[in-house]
Amino acid sequence: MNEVRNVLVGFELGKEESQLSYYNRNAQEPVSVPTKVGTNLFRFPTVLAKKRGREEWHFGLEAEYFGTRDDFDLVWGEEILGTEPVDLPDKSYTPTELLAAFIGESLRLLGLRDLTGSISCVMVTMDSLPIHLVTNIRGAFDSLGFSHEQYSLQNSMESFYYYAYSQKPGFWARDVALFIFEEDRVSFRALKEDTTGKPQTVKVITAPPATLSEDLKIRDLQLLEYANKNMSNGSFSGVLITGTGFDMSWPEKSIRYMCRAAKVFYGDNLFVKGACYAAYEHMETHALKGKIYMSEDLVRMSIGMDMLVKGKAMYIPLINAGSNWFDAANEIEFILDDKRELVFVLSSLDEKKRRKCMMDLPDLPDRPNRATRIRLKLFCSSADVCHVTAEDLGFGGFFPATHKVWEDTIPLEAFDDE
Amino acid sequence: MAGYRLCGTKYAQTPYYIENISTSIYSIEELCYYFYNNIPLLDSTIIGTELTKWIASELMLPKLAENMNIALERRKSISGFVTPVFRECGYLSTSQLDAYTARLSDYLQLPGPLRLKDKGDALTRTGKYSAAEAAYRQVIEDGKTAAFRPEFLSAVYHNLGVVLMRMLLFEEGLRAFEEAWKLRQSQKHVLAYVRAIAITKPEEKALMELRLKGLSEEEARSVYSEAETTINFARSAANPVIPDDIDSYVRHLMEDYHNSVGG
Repeated sequence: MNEVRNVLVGFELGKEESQLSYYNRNAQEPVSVPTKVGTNLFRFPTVLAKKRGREEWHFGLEAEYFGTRDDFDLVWGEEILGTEPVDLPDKSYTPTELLAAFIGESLRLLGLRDLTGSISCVMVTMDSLPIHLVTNIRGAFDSLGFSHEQYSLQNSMESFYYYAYSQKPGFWARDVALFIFEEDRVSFRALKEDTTGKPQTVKVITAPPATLSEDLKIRDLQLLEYANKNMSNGSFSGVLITGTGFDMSWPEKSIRYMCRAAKVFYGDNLFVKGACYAAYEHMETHALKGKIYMSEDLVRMSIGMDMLVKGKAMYIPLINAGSNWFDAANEIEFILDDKRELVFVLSSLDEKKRRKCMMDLPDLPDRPNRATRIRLKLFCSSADVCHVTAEDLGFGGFFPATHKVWEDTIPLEAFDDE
Repeated sequence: MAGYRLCGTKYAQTPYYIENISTSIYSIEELCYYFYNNIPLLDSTIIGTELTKWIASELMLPKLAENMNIALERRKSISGFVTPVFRECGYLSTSQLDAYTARLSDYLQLPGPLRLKDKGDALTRTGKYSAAEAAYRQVIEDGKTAAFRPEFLSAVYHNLGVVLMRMLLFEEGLRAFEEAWKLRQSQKHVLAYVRAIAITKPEEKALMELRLKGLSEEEARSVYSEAETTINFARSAANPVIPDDIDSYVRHLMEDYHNSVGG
């Protein structure tokens, strides 16, 4: 690996298998990290093996090997990504601790001496991101010593978006199709861009999956029919194929059809490279500014407050529309000046609509004006809900903090059309 | 201008202790609050390089600290030392800061003895009786060589008496009240003096002293009777509810007392 500083990493975390990539600035593209040097083995099992009586962990292929020994215990992906603690003979481990062990060991494939010092960003991508996984992954990275700015999460469809839109513009000039193979099943997704609004939005549409025959000739015809059904009504400039159950030996007619319509790429590392492209986009290029991927995890409403900053009235954004809910959090402190309640400003994604939302602070201690400091925290538990916490911090030695906490939730629902 | 004033600067790990009010501050906003509400207490215990060092190292505002030092060293300007702090965090609106600057300027133009008395009054309000006593006595000392108006000096003696009484130095307090009375026989000073006699001495001795001061028997008893209201109130407080943790209670009382008298 030729990157040693400000390393950008894509991490595809799956229940069965995982893989890593890093951004190669010389080649100007992500490169998959092999599990063994000099091989094309990029995927490794999502499994841990722990030596009994010691904090010695192995992951992936190594774990599968050590797991055959009596003095090691195996922990499978379902448990690592689960919700319940895992009881090993010598100790119990929470899913966060298991994730920390798995992520920490996996990242050593990069060959970096100081992970937290060398890595700029790790983008973790998964099929879906329920709240328990978001919490556990965050906890894992925190315990490994990464700062919040050094890691992020996105689902695999968002990685698809970043992969596609990081190719040459001709590839995404029109819609981009994605065929995902899982042995005998194939599913279809497409990226569709709406250039009429501002910002320009890109969304994924999904079609029902199809089951393919084991007979290769019939399989090819079935794939052709499936592709035709989903692509004939659209205009496509790019096609991506990924997953297991596909290789170049059998899909003659179907591939010919796809190539007539668009450029076609096949690879098993679409999502991990897409995650890496996303890390590169967030941390360095910002080339896709002006476009928003309409993820199901997307927060579609901004929350902010009109505040006084060094005496000047300013709008301070707290939660930004266009970010994923698990990245949407903020914390500020301010002094109350002749106010006994909090007023938030909510605005739509296109910033054309605004409304206000009030949060009362009942039993706020009586103090002179400008002598109460409030700590405000906001975080989202889904794309639809933001949680707000306000805490009284008093005013130094003048007025001790009561640490009274007020909580509220703000629904992030779309504005009614007027 | 009402609103929410965003705190953009760091919260200090180590607070700055303001001796005049026995209070620790952790932020620039708290420093502004002190400056805004305690103009008479902007003295050498706060205006100096100890504060600017704290601002530079704990609040991470070296540029502000440098500007404050320049104002102090080159221009000897208290206003120049104080107002940049308000501007740094926007604690006051523009009109509020203008009003404060004008108030500060007016105060700084007052004669020294008047500012010293104001300082004593402010220290009394914050419970720093020993420091207040020192301020009043300095004014009195200066008054020996300067021609202060009797009304002004009697007010200083009166306030000195109040402070001494609060420090339980009754005889000294009585003498201060007596001086106030001698300088100006206003009703307030007369009442303060005779009440002090009645409160601090046994009934017989109090009545005798009051008679020696020229009060008739009837007047003396009337004053004493009035003072009894105060005495009874004091006696009711002599039977306080004893808390379970008596050691902490007593320690707290002692700390308060020592804080006030500077011991």
